[in-house]
Amino acid sequence: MAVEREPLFLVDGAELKNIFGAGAAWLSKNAAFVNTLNVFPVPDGDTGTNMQLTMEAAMQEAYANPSTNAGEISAALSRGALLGARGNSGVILSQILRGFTRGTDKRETIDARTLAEALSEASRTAYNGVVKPVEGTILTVIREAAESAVSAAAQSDDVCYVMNKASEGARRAVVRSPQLLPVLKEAGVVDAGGEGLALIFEGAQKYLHGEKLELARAAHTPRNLPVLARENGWGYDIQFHIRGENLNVNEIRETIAAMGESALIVGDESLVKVHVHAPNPGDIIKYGAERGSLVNIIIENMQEQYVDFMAGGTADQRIGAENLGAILPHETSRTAATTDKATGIATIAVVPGEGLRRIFESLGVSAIVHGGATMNPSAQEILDAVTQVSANEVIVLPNDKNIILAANQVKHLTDKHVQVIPSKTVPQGLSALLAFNFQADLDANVRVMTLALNRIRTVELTRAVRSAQINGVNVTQGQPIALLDGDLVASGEEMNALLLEVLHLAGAEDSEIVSVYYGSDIRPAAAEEIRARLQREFPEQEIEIHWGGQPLYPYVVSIE
Amino acid sequence: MAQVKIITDSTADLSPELAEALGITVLPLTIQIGNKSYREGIDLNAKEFFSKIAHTTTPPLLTAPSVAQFEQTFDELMKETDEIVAILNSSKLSKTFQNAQRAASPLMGRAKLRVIDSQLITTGLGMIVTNAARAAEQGADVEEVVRLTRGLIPRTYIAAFADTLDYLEHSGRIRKAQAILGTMLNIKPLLILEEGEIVVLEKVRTRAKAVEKLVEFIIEFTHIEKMDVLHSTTPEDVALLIEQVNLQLPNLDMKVEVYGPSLGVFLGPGALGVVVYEGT
Repeated sequence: MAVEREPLFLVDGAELKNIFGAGAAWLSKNAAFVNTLNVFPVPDGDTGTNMQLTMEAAMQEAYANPSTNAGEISAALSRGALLGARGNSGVILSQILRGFTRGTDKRETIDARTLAEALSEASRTAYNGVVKPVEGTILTVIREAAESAVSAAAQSDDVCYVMNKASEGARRAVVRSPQLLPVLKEAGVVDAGGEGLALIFEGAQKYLHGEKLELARAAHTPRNLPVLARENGWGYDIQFHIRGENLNVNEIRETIAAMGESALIVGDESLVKVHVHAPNPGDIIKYGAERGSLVNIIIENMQEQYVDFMAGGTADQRIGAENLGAILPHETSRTAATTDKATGIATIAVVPGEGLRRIFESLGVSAIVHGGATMNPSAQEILDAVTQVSANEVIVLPNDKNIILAANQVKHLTDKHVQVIPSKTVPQGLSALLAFNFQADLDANVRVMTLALNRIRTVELTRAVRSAQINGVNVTQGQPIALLDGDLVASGEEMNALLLEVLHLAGAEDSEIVSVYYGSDIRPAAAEEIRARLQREFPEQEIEIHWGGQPLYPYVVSIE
Repeated sequence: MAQVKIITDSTADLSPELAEALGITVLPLTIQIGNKSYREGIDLNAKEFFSKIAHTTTPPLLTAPSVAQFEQTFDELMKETDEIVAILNSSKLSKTFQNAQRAASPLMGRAKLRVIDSQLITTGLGMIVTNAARAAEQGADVEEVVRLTRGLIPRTYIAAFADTLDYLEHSGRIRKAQAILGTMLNIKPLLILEEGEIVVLEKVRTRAKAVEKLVEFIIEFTHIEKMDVLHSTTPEDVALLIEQVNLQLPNLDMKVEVYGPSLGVFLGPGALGVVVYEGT
């Protein structure tokens, strides 16, 4: 028997919070699924996680506002999302909320027509925010949701009805996305960002139909201490999975985030993945073990790893859980001069590993934001770094294609003059920073640094996160794969052999210098072996091997 | 009236023959390598210097002639003349100029004694010293020699890239905020002397790029009267540089020199540099 439902004519601020809260909750519940909708079998930005964290940041701001004015709550959501935006999908989501807010036009309450108008404005704002809009993405989803809402509002004054139609429109656009975007079809997935948005609509729809769907109020954006004082080491990089039943992801996230820095905690009721940096791993491990059984524990002493590398050591860096008592406090790194102190122009780089951080610092970077593939920092985290540096002119190096939009968002969140050099890889960022001219002004530096991006080629090696056929390359899950300037170009059986193959493909024999930045999974001894092999294979080239310490990518290489 | 006497220091990389022929007094700087000290140009030439630093782990140190050494030199010269011009290496690179000034100030009343901070080093300094000595030979007085020298200083440019940053960092003679050099990445900085101070112009990662940058630096001049190419142990880079410069400036007069120990203290071995004389 169908449940009788009163029509809903007006939505006030409190109800708007509930509606969006339900959307956020439904997205959170399904974020892990959205993460699997990865076109390229590469561990890069997790769309589900990025959108989830962006929505949570929006809700946090809304929950903090006691107003019942719908326009005001919408504005709070928008502000929270703008700051909390992570990854390209998070940034577009924040623009959707910004447009929605403009559409609500500061109204006390929202009726069906206003809802449709607000969604239309959301769609326009999202399209305007993207340089080259692509159909079959989240953009199509918001546009078709808005179109459905507009025609529904012409027929009914019931907000529930309009939301139903918007949600259906969103879902249809998602289902159709592989027809619009061939890469999706080839990969056999629907668009992840579009799916995330459709989930938000569905959560809202479910709530309006009486389903209890609430985002845990305690939930807050993790990684709230992203900008590390450059004088401090990072202590330990701690990763583990908690297996159990009825795990409370939000509670675990909140607790662990408070115990360390750069926390990234995702999962569901049966499995929670934890990645956090902390000065002392003992307490975090202990807490995790109380919640469930711990598997895949990796603890790395980032400071020791660096010291050991500098000493040419070969010791295994991974510390077994049994040795946790013998951990030494990290030492402080040398303070180097920075671009802002020399010229009044600050440079900020997003960097995924301790070794890479050191290298950027040795080149005078003013501040570091920890992040990279699968750990996209929020606009807020980049903004914090911009605020932290004393200079008023700031150059940001995102060093990842999925972080560029969030970095651009920061321009509008500060009075400082922020310029973003669109570096898509860490080697591109290094090349740009090297080109920084101490005699030049901001505009001239932006010019020379941007030119420097294309002066190098980047090779990245990682493991396929799923089986796929992309660009004519067959890959099976877990297999080593190689990217050349961001494109998947080869797969192989063995990481080192694949590295050699791709370096040839990239024309390393015609280059002058090949620099290898090895990741946290590679031991210094293995890196030395690679050096020897590369020197044999490329006798004409200078070969440099540096500890990068980045996760997931055993080798990141620049060819110049 | 006696002829104006010219004093300089060993960083000018003047040949002893030329110095003698022009009557130039050259005071040596002291180079410490390991726990031994050498007087530049007297106990230690460039070849010996590069061979010795290749076998020591601690970077060499440079010490200016003392105030007492200058006092003694001034005293001796004042027996022959009361017109002396001391033209010395950049006050930003060593204490030579400061020590000479301290020695000179009590003598100012007794003689026409001028001490000039050339803001230069190596053959750039050598060139203006040679010009000063020639002018003195032809009868110029102290003021004329000083005016000539001050006119040449801003038209003399020195640029070089170092193969390694270790020596530069250790010397501490780089503008403090610019010690942003990335010793981790084997950066080869293109350096210029700007008002006597070593300043990083650009940073590159390979010698080939560094040579390219040096060529770019040279061909930006609208007029070059002559040029020195400086190196220590890398004649192949010199040949490459000359070839590339000749493509753009086929008639340029280029002289190849090995830079001396004092500049070697800052640049270490393997550097490549140029001294450009813009002319008038």
